[in-house]
Amino acid sequence: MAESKKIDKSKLSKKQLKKLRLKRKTYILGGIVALLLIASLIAPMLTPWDPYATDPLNMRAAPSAEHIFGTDYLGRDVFSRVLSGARTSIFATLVLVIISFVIGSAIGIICGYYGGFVDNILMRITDILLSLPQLVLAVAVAGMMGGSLTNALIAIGITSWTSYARLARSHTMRIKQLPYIDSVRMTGSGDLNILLRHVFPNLIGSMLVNATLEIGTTMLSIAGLSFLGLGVAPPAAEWGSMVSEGRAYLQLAPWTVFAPAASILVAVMIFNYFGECVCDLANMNEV
Amino acid sequence: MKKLLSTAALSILTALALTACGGDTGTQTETDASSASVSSEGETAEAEVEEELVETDDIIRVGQSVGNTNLDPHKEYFGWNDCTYGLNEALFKVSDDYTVEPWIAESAEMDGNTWTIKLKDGVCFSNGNPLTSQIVIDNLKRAAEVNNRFVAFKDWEFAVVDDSTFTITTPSVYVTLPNDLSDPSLSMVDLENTESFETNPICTGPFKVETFDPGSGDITLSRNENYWDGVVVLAGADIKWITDDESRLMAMQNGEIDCYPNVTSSAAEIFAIYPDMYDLVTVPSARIQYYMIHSRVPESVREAINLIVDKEEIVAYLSGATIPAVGPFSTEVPYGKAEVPETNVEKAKEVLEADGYTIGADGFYQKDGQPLTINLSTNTMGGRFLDDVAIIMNQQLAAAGINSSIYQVENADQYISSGDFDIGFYSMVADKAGDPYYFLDAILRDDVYLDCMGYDNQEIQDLLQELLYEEDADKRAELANEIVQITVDENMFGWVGIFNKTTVLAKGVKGFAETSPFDYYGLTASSSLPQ
Repeated sequence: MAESKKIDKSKLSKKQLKKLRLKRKTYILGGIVALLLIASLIAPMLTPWDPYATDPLNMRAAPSAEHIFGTDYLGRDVFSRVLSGARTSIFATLVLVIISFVIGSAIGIICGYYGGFVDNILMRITDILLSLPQLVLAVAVAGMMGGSLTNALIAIGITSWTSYARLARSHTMRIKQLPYIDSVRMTGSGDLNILLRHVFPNLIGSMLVNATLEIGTTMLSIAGLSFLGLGVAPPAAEWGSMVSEGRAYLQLAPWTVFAPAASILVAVMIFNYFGECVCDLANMNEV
Repeated sequence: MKKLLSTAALSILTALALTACGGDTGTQTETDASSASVSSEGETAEAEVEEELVETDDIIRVGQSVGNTNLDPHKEYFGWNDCTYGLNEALFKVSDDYTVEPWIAESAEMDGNTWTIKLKDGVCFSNGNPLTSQIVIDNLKRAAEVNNRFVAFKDWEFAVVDDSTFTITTPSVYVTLPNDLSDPSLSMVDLENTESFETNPICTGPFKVETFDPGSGDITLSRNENYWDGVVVLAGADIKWITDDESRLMAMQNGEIDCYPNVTSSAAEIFAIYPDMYDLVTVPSARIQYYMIHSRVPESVREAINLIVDKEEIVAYLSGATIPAVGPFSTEVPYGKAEVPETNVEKAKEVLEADGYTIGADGFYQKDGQPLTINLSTNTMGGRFLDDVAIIMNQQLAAAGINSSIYQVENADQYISSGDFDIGFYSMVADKAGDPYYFLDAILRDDVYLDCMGYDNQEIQDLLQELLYEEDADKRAELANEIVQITVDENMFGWVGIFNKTTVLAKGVKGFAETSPFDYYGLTASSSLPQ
């Protein structure tokens, strides 16, 4: 069996081989992403210590067998807080990406399909939002609304849907020119039917690719707002706010910053790499 | 009856109490119900033994956590920052032991409702113009116009006696007037010749403004060549506004600045590692860290909260930033004698259970099926650690069965103005000038900014009124203690910690008011860099 596979491989063209490798890489990364998601989902069950329990006798303790990532300035176990923070950081990101995806796609499809006045208005709004620096706008909005995870998500969400809208619109405009849409229309299908059954399925691939690419950026934005004190309310654990809390002790207890910072780095890298692989695979399929 | 005394009016109050820490500065005190005075007699001998000061070409670089967007000393609290730059001076100043001393003024004598204030000879502005009584009066009137804190001055009567003497007549006896006139916001400005109060006020301090960038808050100062009080050692100063605690720490470490006040406890730990490079000076400050409990919180819950909160533990977490507080004032002063119940979680539970609270399935108290959740509103104002105190309290309350949630904002105004909190954290200078009235009035008087907790206690209002007019030091202390005790008994506040003020200076740098408990003193004529 192994031999036949080998023979098959040798018969493949360079391009096919590359595609195969890419596919395998994507599956592996997909598996890692799935593991990360499952781990963060069950994280509260895995924490060796209460992530919120302060301990005045154990403040800023260096990493040890008891506390593998050490303790923070209030004596809380950093490993437990990193695990607990994973759920907040990762799931808040996914929630925001999914909501932005749905809203952005819906607006983009409507604009692309109907055009005209609605398209003009919505696209000009999109242009305005795209012209603003995303994080600066998010900081301003979150600052006005007050610090909370929901407010931070709203603040980032105000601009994050625009890229989906732009992409969905251009794809819809292309798809609606295709002959099969005319044929469907001639059968008497309504707009909703055409959009849901014939337009949306044909653009969801590239939209999903865009969504996976956005995960890393969104995660960094949420961590950034939390770092500035505009994200989760204390004492909740979130990677960005943990970096912020530990910053004052960077020279005395660097582990309080390194552990959450490394978690952000690794998670963002995994999601970005996964997104890029999905993107490359999608491009290769199109070609 | 008028008598000449030689110490601050309110130093009478504090001197009696601070016998343990206050040294005799060659002054005589005499208490009299209807008169008091402040004068600078006896300073000459002290001055004679001082090291002779010599002008240098040195420029000191200072990092400030709070900066100015405006230099007008009379507006808001800009005068406090100006004062740290050595730009402006008030009539009086408060010494390290909380006694009021003359600064620009030579003496002040009280006779009934009237204070007679005499200015020192030769005081002049940085442009060389002399300071006169009329200018002082005009300055005080301007402060009353542009700053709500001094609106009461509008009811005062001012009269010029001669070029260096004037009188202030208040509607009633005003014992603490020199204390209040020591506020740097009541500094003297050459009103006629100042072209821009916002960017270049002409004042009497040892330094004058060279450049000021309101955007960054950075200021370049140069020596006031016309300084009235002797030699100014430094040629100038660069004040950098660095709001971030860690950035100030690193600026000091990389030699970008020569000193900075309000060092955080974590930074102090780092500087302490290198005693040959830095001088670290820590003194108890006059700033209190406390929480307000809203009247909407049931009485039993208020009592339970104060029995649960363990100040010693909070102070331990803050690693030397504060010392445990009993009341708002230091226990060293006669008006700092409140009796606060010890931490007792078991008793707190008994109090709650006696009021019908029971532990629910979630492990937290509830009453009649309604969960008990306390909203802890805190702010992240730099160097105050109120957010950390909220987190620690959140855990202490949770361990005792009281659920709480933290609402964190950047500025306390957001919950003080709305009164939307169960527990609101705050920090302010409690002992501004050796007298309890300023603080008690600021937090307890009806309709003041901090009257946001919904209490209506006539007894406190009456006592405050009594304190306002009381002239006897012992009785003032008694009244203050009585007022604070009511707040303790009613569980209106939780007095958490009194801050330490830590200043770091590069080895050999001297004179950034490092021994003063007050935030608003800094550069002086004798500030110097190592030679």
